[in-house]
Amino acid sequence: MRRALILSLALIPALLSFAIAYLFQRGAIADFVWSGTYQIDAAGLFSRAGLAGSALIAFILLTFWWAEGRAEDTFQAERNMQEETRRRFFRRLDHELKNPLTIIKLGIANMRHTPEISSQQQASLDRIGQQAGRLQKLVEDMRWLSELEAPRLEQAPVSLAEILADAVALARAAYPDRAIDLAVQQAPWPLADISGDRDMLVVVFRNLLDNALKYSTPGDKVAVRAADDGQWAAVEVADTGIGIPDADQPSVFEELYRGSNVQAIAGSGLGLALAWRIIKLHKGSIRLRSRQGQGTVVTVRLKLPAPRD
Amino acid sequence: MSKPTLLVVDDEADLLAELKPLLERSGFAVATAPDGRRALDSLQHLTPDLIILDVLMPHMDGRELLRRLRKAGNWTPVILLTQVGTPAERAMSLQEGADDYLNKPFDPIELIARIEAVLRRTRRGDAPLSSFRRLRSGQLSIDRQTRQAKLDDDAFSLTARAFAVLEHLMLNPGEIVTRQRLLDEVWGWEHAVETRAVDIRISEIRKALSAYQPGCIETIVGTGYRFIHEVVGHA
Repeated sequence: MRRALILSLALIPALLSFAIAYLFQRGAIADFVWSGTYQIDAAGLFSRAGLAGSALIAFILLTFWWAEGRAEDTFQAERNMQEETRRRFFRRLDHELKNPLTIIKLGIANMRHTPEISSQQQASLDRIGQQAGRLQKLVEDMRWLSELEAPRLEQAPVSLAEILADAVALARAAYPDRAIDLAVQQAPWPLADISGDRDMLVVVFRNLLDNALKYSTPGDKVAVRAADDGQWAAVEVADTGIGIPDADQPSVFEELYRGSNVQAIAGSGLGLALAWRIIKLHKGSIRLRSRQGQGTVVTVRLKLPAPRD
Repeated sequence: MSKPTLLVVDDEADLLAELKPLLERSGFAVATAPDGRRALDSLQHLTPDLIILDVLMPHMDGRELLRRLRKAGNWTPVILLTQVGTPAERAMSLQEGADDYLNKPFDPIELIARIEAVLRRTRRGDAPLSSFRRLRSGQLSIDRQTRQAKLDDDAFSLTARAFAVLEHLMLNPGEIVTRQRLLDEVWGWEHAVETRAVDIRISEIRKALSAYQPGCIETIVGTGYRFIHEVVGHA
């Protein structure tokens, strides 16, 4: 009984290897396959190796893919746990900051009503008020990062073109002296609608544009391009600004992370984290490419709804 | 008319120290208590017109105090100061018998506006609309539980946020509801989401009501919106 079990355990991968090798030789599977970061010319390899050799190669590939999958699972589990810890931390922080902020706001309102207040004191109060507002925005964003879950998002057909026009209009209002190019697919047909949360997606592109404008100067170019390929809509937000150092790029989507070359520019480090989270909840992807001193492009991809007919 | 009396209950002494003069300046007489238990004690000899109640407090928290008051048949209007702004928590505040709630950190002007609105409502002797499941205004009715809106007997569809905007306007008939407040109540994200998001939902509601009375929601330029017709509540 045990022998049969061991035998079948050994036979299954072997048979699978032969089957894969056979399919590769027939050209029924892709010509190239990925193994980790290596691309393998499967068609060439299998045609030269013969069936037994091919089976051996297929077996090695199978083992490799299995191990890769295991590593990916562990990585995902770790990542989820980290995310949960971070969320708890933000919830707590949000909570602890609310009372102090309320008291500061009340205190400012009271001081504005003291009878002899000099213009200098008035200016101080204005500044304190503005900074309290900044803190409140930070607290709000942190709460959103910790609370933003799929059920809170709307799922409705929305026009991506309109969302982008809105985000660009808001960015233009905030940076009136800057030019932003907006190019949305018009031909042969207009950009497809997507399914999602209109208001949250405006936040995403607004944040991306904010970054593009903040980390570039008036002479630089900022461009938004959008097109779809029938399955995905892709939006690029590109700038010719200061760029992100290579070492910082893997971390830019983390909460509160800020690049090593932007310390002189005010920012919360939450804009990209929020964008990432909202896009993730839309089951889309967000990627960033950057060269320091040349600029940055962020690409957001959103799945188009399946055609109804 | 004598000054309305408020009882403010919060465990944060600094908050009471700042809130008391602010409310007094706005024309209220103010008593304070540092927690739910002490608030119950002062209610033995004090009959406030309204209680402002923090949710999170040691000894007896705001919700517990509210439950005890309502159980004992005390219907003094209560505004809850909440900490977490999730829609579930908000709904819970109203179910437990609060007349209104406000998220910390709140805008002082907003707090005063809410106090006055609640006092106006209770002076008329009305039960708070928030205690009803169904709201009706002429042919328009909404079911707050099933989240369905109807004109006469015909259901019409609204996006979830448009429904919530309509609900908030109908809960506060005749009151100006600012865009910021709607953003805070419906989106829970006052700063990041732009006020245009509110305008888009308003035009969605008006379009849905076009056959009936798109004008029942009045635009207050630069401020917000107001539901101008009378609203009655049903169980």
